[in-house]
Amino acid sequence: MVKVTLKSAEGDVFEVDEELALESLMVKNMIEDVGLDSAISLPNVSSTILAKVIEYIKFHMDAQKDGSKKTSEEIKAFDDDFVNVGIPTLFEMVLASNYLNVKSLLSLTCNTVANMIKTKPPAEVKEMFTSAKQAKA
Amino acid sequence: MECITKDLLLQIFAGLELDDLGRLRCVCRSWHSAIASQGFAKQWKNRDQVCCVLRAKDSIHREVWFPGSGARRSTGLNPGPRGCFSIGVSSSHGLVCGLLPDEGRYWSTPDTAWKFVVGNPLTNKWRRLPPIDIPCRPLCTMERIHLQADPSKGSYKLAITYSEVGSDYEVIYQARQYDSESRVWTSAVPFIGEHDGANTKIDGSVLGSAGLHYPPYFLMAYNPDSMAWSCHKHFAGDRDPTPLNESVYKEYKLLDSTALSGVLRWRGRNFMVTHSFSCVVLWELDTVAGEWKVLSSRRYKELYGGRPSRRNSDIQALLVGSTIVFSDRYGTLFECGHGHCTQLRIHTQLQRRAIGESREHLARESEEHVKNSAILPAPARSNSALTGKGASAPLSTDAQGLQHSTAEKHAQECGAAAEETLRGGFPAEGRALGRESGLNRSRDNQIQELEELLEGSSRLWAENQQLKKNLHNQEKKMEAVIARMEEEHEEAVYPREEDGRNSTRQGC
Repeated sequence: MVKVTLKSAEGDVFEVDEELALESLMVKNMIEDVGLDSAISLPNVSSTILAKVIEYIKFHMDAQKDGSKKTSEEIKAFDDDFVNVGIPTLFEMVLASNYLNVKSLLSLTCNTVANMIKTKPPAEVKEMFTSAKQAKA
Repeated sequence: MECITKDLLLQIFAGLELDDLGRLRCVCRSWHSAIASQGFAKQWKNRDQVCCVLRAKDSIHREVWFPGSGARRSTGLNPGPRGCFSIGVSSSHGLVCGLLPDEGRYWSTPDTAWKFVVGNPLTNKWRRLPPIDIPCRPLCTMERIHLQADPSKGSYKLAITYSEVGSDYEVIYQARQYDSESRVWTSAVPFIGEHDGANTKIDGSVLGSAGLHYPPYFLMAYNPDSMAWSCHKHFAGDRDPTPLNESVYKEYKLLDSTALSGVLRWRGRNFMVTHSFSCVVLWELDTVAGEWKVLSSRRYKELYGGRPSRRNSDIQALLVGSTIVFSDRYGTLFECGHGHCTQLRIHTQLQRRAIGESREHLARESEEHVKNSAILPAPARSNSALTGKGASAPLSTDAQGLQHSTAEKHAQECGAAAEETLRGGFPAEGRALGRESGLNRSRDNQIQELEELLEGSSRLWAENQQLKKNLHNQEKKMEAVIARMEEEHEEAVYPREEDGRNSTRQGC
């Protein structure tokens, strides 16, 4: 199995299967451009987030494989648990999934954010977004 | 707010509903412009769920109804230009069609032009269409308004279908259509009701229909693309009713005046909604058998909490997303799901609210009435009785009762009957006021109605006075007659009563 090396913003190196890496359209394009020899640098994604994204892709690839025992409830439970994180982390995941171009993760995180702001008054939404921004800075 | 880019923001917003978006517009300026942008209007997923502009009691708070959640919610958005009063006329792909009351007509008020407005509540852009004048004859029936938007082309069509009765009492089906590209109203070729020769299949693009001609049952369908009418004979019934249809007739009492609420297309399936005196029935076209089959039905009791009154009996069915929404002339809405057609769903929450508001409304209305009636003391009584049952003893019963009463008693009863007429003079209106949830009627209309009521009451009061006067005269005459008769025959009690009765009856 061919391995792809991904390098996070902090310089940590992740070695993943090529099949898994190709789920990210951005990485796929990079591989097509520069080949597999050098590590692919992802300066916009921190190590913790990259680890989470890899975890997400891995789980869903396993779930899609033939002979997978996972039920749709299990997948949903995983997704719910996966996005059950702090707002700053969630926003970083939205940005990362957008940057890495992982469609399913992007829609999952966007829906989560949408559900969070759904019933809140404007002031609270503003507070939420500002605090996320400060946490990032 | 720079941590999330505008594109991502719009992606997040795409899953939200209209009232959420209305609130989020207030967060900051960049969000406001993002939500109002044209790009977002196309990206927005819930645009099919925008149902109706509901007119609220004042010009500031308007409500948009979301059939999926079953809630009427006030929104910071401004759905509809100022004065837009109606209300579930039609909606398609996020566009909403409304009727303007000023100079426009309140459905079947004759001799005024229709003024439509079409727009997008999200971007708050509205366009007034050129007024359209449909000749309104007394028998002009089954007006239907359909908005059909084409998001790929960015255009929309608005079709009005109606039927009228010609000089030889033949039914003429008419249609007028507005196209946003050409910006003019055009008339379709009228279809004159000769059903025997015509039997065309309902094709894919049937948008609406004007009438269910009965009996025998025919469905008239209008195709806005070809601008042509077609006549569909395979509606249950006709000359060769199948066993299903016979049982359907009995079960749903279709023979008592079935009227068409609308023809709907949803995911390639054809649905038809009819309403009769007792219930609303949902049909689906079985393309194999070429016949309409009943999918589900709901009685008015369950939908409305009672039978619709004479005034809201014209029910139009609209398709919003995957939900059928019914709207009557006053914008009262109820819905049924038809993805799983075994069960029609109706939001009781909405009903209760409507009833509650109508009660408040009545209370306020009677207050206003009391104010008005300071000038006219008599109708005040009639008005306060309006909130009561409004059912009066029919005059005919009184007339029968007269046969057995003496002259004096008769005189009293006659007065009572007149009083009764005065009090329950508008039983139908009284009921209508109670039932139709007042919250959707425009204030102007309410005032107008109240004025009409007042006028009617005072007229009746005047009549009553006149009657009393007549009665008084009759009594005087009677006394004179009695006096004369007593002079002639001392034992003439019977003839005297006979005379008295006759004369009083004439007086009545």
